[in-house]
Amino acid sequence: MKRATVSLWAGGAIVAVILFGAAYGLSLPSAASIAMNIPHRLLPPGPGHPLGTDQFGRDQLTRLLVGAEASLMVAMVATAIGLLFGVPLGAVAGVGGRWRDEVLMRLADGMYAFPALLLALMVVAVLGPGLFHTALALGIVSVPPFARLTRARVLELKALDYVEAARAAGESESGVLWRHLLPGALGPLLVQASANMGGAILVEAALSYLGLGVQPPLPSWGRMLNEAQAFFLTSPWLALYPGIAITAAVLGFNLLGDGLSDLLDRRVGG
Amino acid sequence: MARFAATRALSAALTLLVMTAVAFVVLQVLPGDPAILVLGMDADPTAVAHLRATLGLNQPVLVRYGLWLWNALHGNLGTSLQFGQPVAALLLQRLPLTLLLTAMAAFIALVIALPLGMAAAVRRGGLVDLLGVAVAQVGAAVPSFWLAIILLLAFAVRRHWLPAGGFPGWTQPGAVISALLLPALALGAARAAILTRLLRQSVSEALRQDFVRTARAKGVSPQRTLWRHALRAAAIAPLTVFGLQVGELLAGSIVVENVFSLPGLGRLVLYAISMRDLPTLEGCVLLIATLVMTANFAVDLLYAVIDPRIRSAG
Amino acid sequence: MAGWRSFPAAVALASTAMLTLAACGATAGGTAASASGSSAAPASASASASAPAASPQTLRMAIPGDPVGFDPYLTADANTVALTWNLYDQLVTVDTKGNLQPDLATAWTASADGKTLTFKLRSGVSFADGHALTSADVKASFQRMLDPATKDPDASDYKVITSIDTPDPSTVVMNLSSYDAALLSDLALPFAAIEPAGVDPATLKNKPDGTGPYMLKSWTPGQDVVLEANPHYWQPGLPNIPTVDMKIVPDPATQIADLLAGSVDILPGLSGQQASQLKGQSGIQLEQAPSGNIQIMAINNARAPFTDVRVRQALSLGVDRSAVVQGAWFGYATPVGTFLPPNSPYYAEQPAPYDPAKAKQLLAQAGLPNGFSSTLDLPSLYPVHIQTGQVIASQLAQIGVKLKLNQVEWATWLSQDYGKRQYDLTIISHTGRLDPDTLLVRFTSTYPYNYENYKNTTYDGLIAQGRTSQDPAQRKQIYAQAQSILANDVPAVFLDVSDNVVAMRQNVSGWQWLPLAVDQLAQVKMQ
Repeated sequence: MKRATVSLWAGGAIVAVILFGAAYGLSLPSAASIAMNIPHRLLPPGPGHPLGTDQFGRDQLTRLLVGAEASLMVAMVATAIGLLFGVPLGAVAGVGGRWRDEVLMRLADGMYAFPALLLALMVVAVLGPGLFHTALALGIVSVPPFARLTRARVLELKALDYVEAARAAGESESGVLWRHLLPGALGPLLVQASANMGGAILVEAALSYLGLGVQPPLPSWGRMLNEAQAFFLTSPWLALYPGIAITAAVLGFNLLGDGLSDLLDRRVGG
Repeated sequence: MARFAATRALSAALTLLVMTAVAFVVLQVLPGDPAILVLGMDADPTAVAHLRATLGLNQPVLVRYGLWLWNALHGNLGTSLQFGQPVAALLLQRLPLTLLLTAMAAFIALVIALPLGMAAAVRRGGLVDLLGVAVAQVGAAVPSFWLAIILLLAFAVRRHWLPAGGFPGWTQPGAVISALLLPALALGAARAAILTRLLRQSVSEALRQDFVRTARAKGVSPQRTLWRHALRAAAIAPLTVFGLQVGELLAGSIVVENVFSLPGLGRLVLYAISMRDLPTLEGCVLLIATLVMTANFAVDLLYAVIDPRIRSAG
Repeated sequence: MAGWRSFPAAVALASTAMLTLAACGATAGGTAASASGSSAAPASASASASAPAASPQTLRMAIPGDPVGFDPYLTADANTVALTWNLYDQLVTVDTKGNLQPDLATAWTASADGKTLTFKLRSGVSFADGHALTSADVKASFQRMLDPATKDPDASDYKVITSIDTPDPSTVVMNLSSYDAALLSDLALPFAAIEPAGVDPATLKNKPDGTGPYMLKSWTPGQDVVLEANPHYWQPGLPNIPTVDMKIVPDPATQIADLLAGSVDILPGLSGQQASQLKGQSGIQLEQAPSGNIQIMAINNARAPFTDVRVRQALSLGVDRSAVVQGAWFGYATPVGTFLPPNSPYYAEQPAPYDPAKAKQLLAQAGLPNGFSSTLDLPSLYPVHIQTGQVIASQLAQIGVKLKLNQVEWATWLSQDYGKRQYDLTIISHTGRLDPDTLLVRFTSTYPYNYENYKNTTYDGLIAQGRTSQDPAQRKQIYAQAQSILANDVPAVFLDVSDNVVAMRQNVSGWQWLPLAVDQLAQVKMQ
């Protein structure tokens, strides 16, 4: 019980810090993260540049803050797409007849059998790289988990007495769905959304690291790691901070999800 | 049980069909001409046109997919456009490395997660538990390619303890293991985290269950109780995850093989996409999807063996 | 020819140079800039628990990608050609200064009208499979190359050869449809390798058979290519090292780590970025020489506003090439203002000033006082172009030209930008061969890959004239005029010529720079 609160607070605090950082990044003039100063390139962390500079003399701290924006944007859009399409699909599968259920769930299973990164890779290959396309690819990958979760929850609730009673009382299918089933699924969906944010940040970083995500000169954490790798001999710190940022962001959203989940369990169980 | 297996097999076949069709369409939609990629920038346009015709690239998509499917059903996966070798031979060349890497990563994950998860479950709220939770949370959040870079920096560049990349060839088993150690560690860390967490949860649930209490009351030593009863009861959840992990491990290998320049399936996939090598990509997709589904299927069967109740429910 | 390679960091690696001027003197073969044991490198050179220490019998090399096969007539891939060079010979070859030298032919004569070439073959030459070379092999080779069914992407360079006579086993007579100034030097290229007569083309892709210093022992795609000394090689005492193990290591950072750890002995084709990392590391020596690799920002001359020559001139004036050389190449390049590298005997220097004020003025005259927006395509296979693109975008922003950077996959670039000419601006490198025609012909209006859509009839006429002129002095004058047209018309912004750089461990020596995109391995030595 105590742990639930710890997770919730720790996760919430990390996410808050990252949101604040991204907001600060947004407030910077747009040229700040891409302004070059080649004579001052590859400086180690020190006064003026707390995290050093990259190969074009761009300030790493500024790029890290502006990069937070890209990571969060991609993760939020992807999660929104997952919710927007996954929930109705799952609900239809759960409420509808056996046949519809079977087809939709086999499809979701099929997508599950395919590694998310590989699927996202193919989608980005078709659409071309870039912030929005990466978000779209990750959104497509996010649909099956939301659909599965919604379906499972709907099936679970459908069997409960009060839902049966509502149906017996003549309430319409869609009425039952909206008034009883979906509200019951809200908690788990929230937990899944938080976990999905973390997962999307990880995959976005991997795609950008492979050069398929966010495009230069805009910074993103994965892309910064990609660029840093060439300099690990002389400037290893370049590869350090973006990795820490990714880990912290994913950790934050995962903890937040866990905390929420524990909180819900307690409420349901208690 | 038979019906259970049959439904699963059918759904697996359907999935394979859908995935290979998707891969086919993807390369169709992608701009880029395999013929000019093979011949290069200075290629005479007529030579490119000739090659396109030879490769059968001028036929309609459906015809080509049908042909590919027909041949694949007969065990013929075609010839790689870039390597000029049979795709099946290429896959066989790459598969052992990826399988060994995946197995080593899984082994590392197990070695870390098993003691940590169990100990955390037994002493819930204790110091070990805290450590277990911390490992589980941080491990799951670290991007494996970053971990790969950091490991490379620490153990291959700063200290020349392990090779930085490249593959020595199967004739030197010792060198193979040391070449795969860092990548397996990078790949296994995240899996270890997820497993630790699951073990901790399922074992502590099992420990609370009646039959363990009964066993203890009967005078069986706590150690034996833990290992014999709890582990079996707790095996199911992690087993499922392990089935799903095969997919994640394979996906992770795409990036990690890239960092360490290892000639495995993961790198072949990336190469096939970027070089528009359709037969090779199709072969990879088929193989990866088959591997993942076989793993899931095996886990389902094991599941049914461990817990007989599932059979009837199937 | 822009050698394309199927891996990152490639352009920097395309180790090609054009004809090196004899006047370059003693250092023409490459300015050795070995550096060792500086304070920056505490990392000890003590090699390696990693790979078992290889015997000095084996040279371990890292190459960035797989070859596409070993058939010399079925590839234009720079990576492959660099390798097959060691398996095959041609009738003629070049020395480090770019002068033609005897290879399989010991002597050659041209008829007065330039339409017949007679070659005397070297005696005592055998293929790797042991059978002796005769004029029949040479005839069969060119027949196969010129047969349209072979689909040799480079065949058009040799199309003036109409027939080949073999009066005796050691004499080859080439009959030409017309005089071609570039032909003899084209015969020194790896694309004119001599194969055995009657060879089954299907086996060549994986089982090459040549007269070169090495032969193929094994190829495991993605893992390595192993070469073995050809026991029948005709030059006594060569090659120096019996086995060459070429590990395939695509990642530039991993290549460096492998070299430092001692699991690799030699790393040819370094990028400037890699060279800057290795400079001063103990136990490592760097050697460099200018290449023939010209980086350009190609302009789609058919699209507004680039139809206006003043806009194109403004782009050229708005780019600070020295910043590109520093930012993208880490100093391992030389700025240029034309489409020939400075080490070509036909190079005519053109001014390439950085003058943003004048650039703005030209844009205003063209009716664009506030600048304009455009898209710059960057092939993602080549990190150096992506870096160059970022530097150029930040510079052109200062004259009001707002560039949106657009990374495109190599396959997409080849088909959309290069093939269909659908782009505004893009950055790419082109690599010359021995004759100036191979680069300059790219801007003629009928050239199939004139993707800049540049049209200038005066220029077309000059290039056609240069190709048929038999007088070197006249050719020099023609090509100087052509280069000045390019500099004024700016069909593309000519940026820089990069350096070839090789890194070797201290015990490796004997590297030779040939002005071709090849790795010359026969003379490499190890202690």
